[in-house]
Amino acid sequence: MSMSQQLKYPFSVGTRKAAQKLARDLRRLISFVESGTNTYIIEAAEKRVLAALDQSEIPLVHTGEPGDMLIYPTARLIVEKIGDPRLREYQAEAESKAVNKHLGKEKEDFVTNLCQSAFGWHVESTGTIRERAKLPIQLRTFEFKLRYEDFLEVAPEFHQSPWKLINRYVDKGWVPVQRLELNRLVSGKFKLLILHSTLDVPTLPQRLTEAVQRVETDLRGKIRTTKPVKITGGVVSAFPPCISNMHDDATQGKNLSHEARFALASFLLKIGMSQEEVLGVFKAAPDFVRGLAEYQVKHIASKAAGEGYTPPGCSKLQGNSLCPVYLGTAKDPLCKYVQHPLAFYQTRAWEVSKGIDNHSWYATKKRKRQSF
Amino acid sequence: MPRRAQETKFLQLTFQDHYRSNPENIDIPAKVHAREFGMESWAYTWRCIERNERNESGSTIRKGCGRSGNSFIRISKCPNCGSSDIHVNNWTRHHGFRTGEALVKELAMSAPHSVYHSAAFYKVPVARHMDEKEWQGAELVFDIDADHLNSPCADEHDTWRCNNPECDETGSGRSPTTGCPKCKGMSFSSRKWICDKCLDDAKKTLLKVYDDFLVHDLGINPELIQLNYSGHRGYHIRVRDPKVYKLGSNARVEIVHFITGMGFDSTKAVIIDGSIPRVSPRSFPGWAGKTAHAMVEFIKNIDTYLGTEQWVKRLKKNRTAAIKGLQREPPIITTVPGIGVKSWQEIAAKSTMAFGGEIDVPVTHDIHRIIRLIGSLNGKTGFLVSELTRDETDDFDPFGDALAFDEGALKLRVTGGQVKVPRFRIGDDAYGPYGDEVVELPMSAAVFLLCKGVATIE
Repeated sequence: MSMSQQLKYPFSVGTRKAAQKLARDLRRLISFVESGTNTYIIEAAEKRVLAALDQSEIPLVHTGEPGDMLIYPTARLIVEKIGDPRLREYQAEAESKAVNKHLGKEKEDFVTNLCQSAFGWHVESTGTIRERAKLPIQLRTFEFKLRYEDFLEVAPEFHQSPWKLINRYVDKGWVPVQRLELNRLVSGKFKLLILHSTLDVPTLPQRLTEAVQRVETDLRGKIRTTKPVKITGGVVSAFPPCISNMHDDATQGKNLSHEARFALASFLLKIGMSQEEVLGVFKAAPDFVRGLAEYQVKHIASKAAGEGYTPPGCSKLQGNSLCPVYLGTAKDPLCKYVQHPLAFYQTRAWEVSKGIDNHSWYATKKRKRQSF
Repeated sequence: MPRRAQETKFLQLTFQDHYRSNPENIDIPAKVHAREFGMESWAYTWRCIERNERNESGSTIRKGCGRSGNSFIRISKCPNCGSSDIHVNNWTRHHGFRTGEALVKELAMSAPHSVYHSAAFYKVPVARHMDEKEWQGAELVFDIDADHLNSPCADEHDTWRCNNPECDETGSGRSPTTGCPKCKGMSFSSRKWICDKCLDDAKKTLLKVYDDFLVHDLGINPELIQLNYSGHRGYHIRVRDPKVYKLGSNARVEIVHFITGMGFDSTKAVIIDGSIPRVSPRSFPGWAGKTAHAMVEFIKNIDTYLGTEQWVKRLKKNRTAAIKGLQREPPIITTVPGIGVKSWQEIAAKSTMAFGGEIDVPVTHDIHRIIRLIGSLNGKTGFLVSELTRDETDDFDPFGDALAFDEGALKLRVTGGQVKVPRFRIGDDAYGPYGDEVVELPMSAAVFLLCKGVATIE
């Protein structure tokens, strides 16, 4: 792997080894970047974090110095020192997007080697174009196959229907994937690595501290300008667990899948929130583009004859892994008695308005509609 | 009917005897030191809650006495002070054993109603909180429960009782969904029974999940899959392949959907080719190749489908032609007039849902779940939780091969009442149905009725 490739893929074995050669642990990293001319690393790392926060492209600094390898670890250090999950989410999203873009320009062998060496994935080629030409047209487009255990490390994060295992041509444990999908899985895995890693950052010396403070100021400004509108407590407390999760994720700036956004937006519109208020909920999203979001929310609100789209029902949400009760991560006694989030909301909002918090009446007055 | 103390004590001693004489029956799970164990005991522990409350005149009164104790019957009031504010429990979790011998010794000593262990491996299995346990990975487990399969025999052997104390109406079959016929109440207690038919259905599902999905589609090495009868209504599958240990809950949900047929995008399996709608050929891997077969099964059973879509009538009318076309390779669906591609896609989606293996979903995706210890006794029946190989499963007879007590007989007073204790089989002999009567039964049959709580020792 060339040095410029090492810089593009911070999670690769080569890059990690090169970085560790310069600075074995966090303390050595800190003292290395703080000394002499190495401080350019801090500057570049700060720019890298700010770019992530602005959702612009991650700049690739290649001065030819070995210290270049430490820009990414230093950027991670700055983010972990601040410890804001939203900032980490922005960083993970931007870093993973950059990797996805770089991967698009690599040769096939390079990507499969990267999967194997960095993540221990089992990836194989499905043959040359000529060999694949004998296959039925639907199966012809998959250049690679990946073990299902490895596929499932990342694919459930994507939510959309083609990523579901049931919609793949799974053959004896191998999942055929297209080149672009494999790129997406690799960059998605990198995103997860960032989101799930935690560093115990010690007290930092001056230059790093200054960089941290500048990023923090920028982050605060950003959070203020995109502060989501608050829905009144009464309304939010009547949300079903699914919508409540999506709403929390959206306002915390987590990246929601297309289906989750649609479900949340259509639900909020149906219960009477204005388009402007709904937009406010999505403002914190890492890839928020005002014009596009406005168009989409307007479209959901105004489908034929001004009625608007109805949010998906329970079974659809379950199929898309968006029902936390079905997934076993949340519970609400009312869920068994409804088949649609709006039905849940109607009942619960009434209970909230009457101050009823004993739900035992469901069993006698309502019919069970689903079991978990 | 709740079991009396005498019968409970008898069952515990009987179980204890079994564990003492047959320690080799217990299957020690791999990495036993890293598993959490859970025990359901015969006795209930109770604790009377003591608290200070203010009464209407503003003076402080003490409620409850704070005492605690054990009881062989489930109590609802403190035996000491009569307070109804008590905690009653017969479950303990977070147990750990360093070795298999320690586990066997504990069973011989406490002889619990039921024993479970985690599918997960932990650094600190005895920690009280999940995040302190430090999860290291988990086997992939599946639970196939006859109760989830809606076998028609439930109407013959399950019974219900209305929970309204002034009504107390009883009946057979599943509890009425439209409310109690006498008082219109919606709350019922049910007594679930088992028979050859529903356990056969469960076995069929087990083999489908094992053969079609785990071994064929996911390519899991059969040597790394352990099967067992649960000792009551179903079967378990444990995948002991280290490659699946790391899978998180979301990944396991995907495997659940893959097996149950949920979330299938039928627009890729039923396509327009030229202007002709086509179903994926059987040679396609994954669900695409199963679609035609699933549709055949669905159309064969179309009479039991309750939906009111337009295509239902047309499908019923042209059933034979539809099945014939779908059975060809590649399958053909143009044999039924008046059903468009969109409807065919809907039919395919319904078919895959019906065709999937019915499993108890949360068991698989909950990475902290506990599952019955193989070789232990199931306190709901007195049957053995029996390990099976794939080949043994075909001929396995739960009512013959899972029996633990083959010596002696016992005189019982059966309390079948009006709904009666349904007919059941133990080994080669059938018993019942019983109303209220005294019978002498071989030990396994007697233990079964005592565990079910429908008899007392005479």
